[in-house]
Amino acid sequence: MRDTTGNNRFAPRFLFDFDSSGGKSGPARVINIDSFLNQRVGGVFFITEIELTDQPIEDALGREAIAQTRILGREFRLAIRSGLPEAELSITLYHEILEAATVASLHPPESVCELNEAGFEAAARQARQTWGDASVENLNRMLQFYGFGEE
Amino acid sequence: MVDHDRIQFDLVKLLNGERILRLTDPQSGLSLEKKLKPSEAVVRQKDHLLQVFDAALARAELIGA
Repeated sequence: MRDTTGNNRFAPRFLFDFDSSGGKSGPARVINIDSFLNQRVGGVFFITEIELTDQPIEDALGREAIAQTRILGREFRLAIRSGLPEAELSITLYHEILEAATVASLHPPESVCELNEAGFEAAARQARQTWGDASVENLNRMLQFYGFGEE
Repeated sequence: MVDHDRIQFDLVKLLNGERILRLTDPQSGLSLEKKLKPSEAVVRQKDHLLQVFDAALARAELIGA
């Protein structure tokens, strides 16, 4: 796992949500990004890298990105800009994983075949409403709901 | 037809909200990308890009042979 910040790569990296407590009672831990690392999702996919970075993510042409998911075979490597509110980070994770599973599949489930970008975003928002913040278990619930892992 | 599992796919969400899909053949380095149309199904756009990529790869291999 790369760590562009120079922090201890083995130290747990959390997103802290100050908003929910109004900043008065200290940060509430919401999402442990490391909990997704090397986890199987949708039965056949592996998250082999996941990074929250405060460094600009630039694509090959120098365009600034807020998220990038690389798919190689069944492996997913995610980079997401840090600083997103807790809810948006969850939605981004749901969105990236659902779209990555769709793109990675030679024959994706019918339920995702007609989804456009707005459709994936709506599915991700609905997933958070239904199952709560993103976790490996909840990503699996979403993927199962859309028919992944049933091959 | 190129082996699907051999291709690297990059899904990039740009700051302005646009979505890029990039296909790369790690062996040859050939890369092709498309800005996804927001209203069109992602699977159809990927399949179309894959066909174009397959043809480009075959052409590149022919030239390199």
